[in-house]
Amino acid sequence: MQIKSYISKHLLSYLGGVLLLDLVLLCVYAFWLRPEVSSFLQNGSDHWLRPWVALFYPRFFSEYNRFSDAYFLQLADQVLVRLLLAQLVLLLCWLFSKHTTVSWAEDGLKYARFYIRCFALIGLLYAYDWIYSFYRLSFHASYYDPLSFLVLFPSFSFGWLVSLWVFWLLSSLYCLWRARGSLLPALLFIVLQAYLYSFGKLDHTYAPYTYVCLLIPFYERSLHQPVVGTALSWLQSMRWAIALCYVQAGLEKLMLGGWGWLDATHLRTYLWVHQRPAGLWLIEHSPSHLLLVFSLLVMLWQLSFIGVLWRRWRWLFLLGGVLFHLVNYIFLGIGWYWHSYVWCYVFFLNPRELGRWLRLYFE
Amino acid sequence: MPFVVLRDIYPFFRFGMFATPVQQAHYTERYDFYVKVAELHDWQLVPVQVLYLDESFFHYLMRRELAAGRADSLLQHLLKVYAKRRLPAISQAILLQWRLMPNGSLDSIVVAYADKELYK
Repeated sequence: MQIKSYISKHLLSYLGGVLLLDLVLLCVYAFWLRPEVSSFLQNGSDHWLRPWVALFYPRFFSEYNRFSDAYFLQLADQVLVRLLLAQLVLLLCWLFSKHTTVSWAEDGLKYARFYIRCFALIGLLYAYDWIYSFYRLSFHASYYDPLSFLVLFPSFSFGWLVSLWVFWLLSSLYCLWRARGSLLPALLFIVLQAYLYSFGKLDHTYAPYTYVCLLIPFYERSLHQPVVGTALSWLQSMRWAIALCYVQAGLEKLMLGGWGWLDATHLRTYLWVHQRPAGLWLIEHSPSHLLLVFSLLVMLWQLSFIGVLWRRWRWLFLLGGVLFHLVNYIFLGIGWYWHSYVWCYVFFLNPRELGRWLRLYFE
Repeated sequence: MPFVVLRDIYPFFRFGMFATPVQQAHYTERYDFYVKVAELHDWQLVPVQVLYLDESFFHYLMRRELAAGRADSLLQHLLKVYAKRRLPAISQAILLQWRLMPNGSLDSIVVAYADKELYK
């Protein structure tokens, strides 16, 4: 009965419009675009779709040797499936938000200075490392290709990046000291990261912190606004964004790999690619069904990570997260405590709880 | 959006790492850079960190340049960076591609080669 009251006439007409648009998209894709994609995959050199593929899916040209046409056709189908799935998730989130009050968002007001200081500290932790990354990339400047908005910025040069880096460092220190002024370090992080990824390879190493950077200036601004709930929802948005990084990683595995995850070859291949001693040992000594169980556990854990948003469950997911990044480090050489994902867990905690944990550890 | 359109739209990310189904791939590859130092006869593996690269970026660059038919020019570039490190002079260099097939067999292909003449 309660749900019915929310689905008002207005919402119904909106949903009807979206459904109709989906139906049109589905028909256009099935009867026109899908056969065109098929034809491009068979003889693509002069096909009109080629520049569009280069624009929207540049990886195709380095992957087409490795995969059959059926795989790429499946990817094209998935765009539509994912669009429908995203709509469904948005609808469920909307209904969920109407029925649930998230009590622990109150930390957003009480501990605002703590969260802003944590944001600055995480930035500083990476600051020293990035200057070395820019130094190394300066030897490969000929491969620089500006990413998105960077076309409006000066080209890659070590001197320019050192200047930006110094501003980032100073603004982060100011933010750490005064617990305000998050806008400048947040923007500088996004700009500097864009330079880091303007050599073609873009990965999600700093994704949760990037989302925090996008949201924290709004959070800080809302603290000075008379409407109390705004700050709470900005903190909650940061938590959602961090949790969804894991969920999306799990969803990608499920949607791209599908039943392939029920095969030990998958994990065995990735262990071989990374060539870490522990990983190579595991390939040699582990039975296939154990590798299969590891793969499944990772996917299920990532998909369920949304549970971290429930206060009573979050410790389970945060400790699981630390363990997950430790295992990744041992077998694949990725992450561990230095991973930005782990540092972003502080946004799920408050200083009182952290103090209690530290006391337990040291006493 | 990145989830729907299957690509990163910076500063929003797609989380496709480790998701590619290797069973459907004809092979999974990794790359190595080998040199023959002038006074020695054996090929030596050069850690890519010596060339101011991290492994994932090196593999990405190799895959991309190889697909675009520019593996030789990438090797020339790597040799220039190598020369800046003042390491022992080399007489020959290769970029090697290792291919792991879904059935577990492994083979290797030289995708770029440079000798003294080409190394300028």
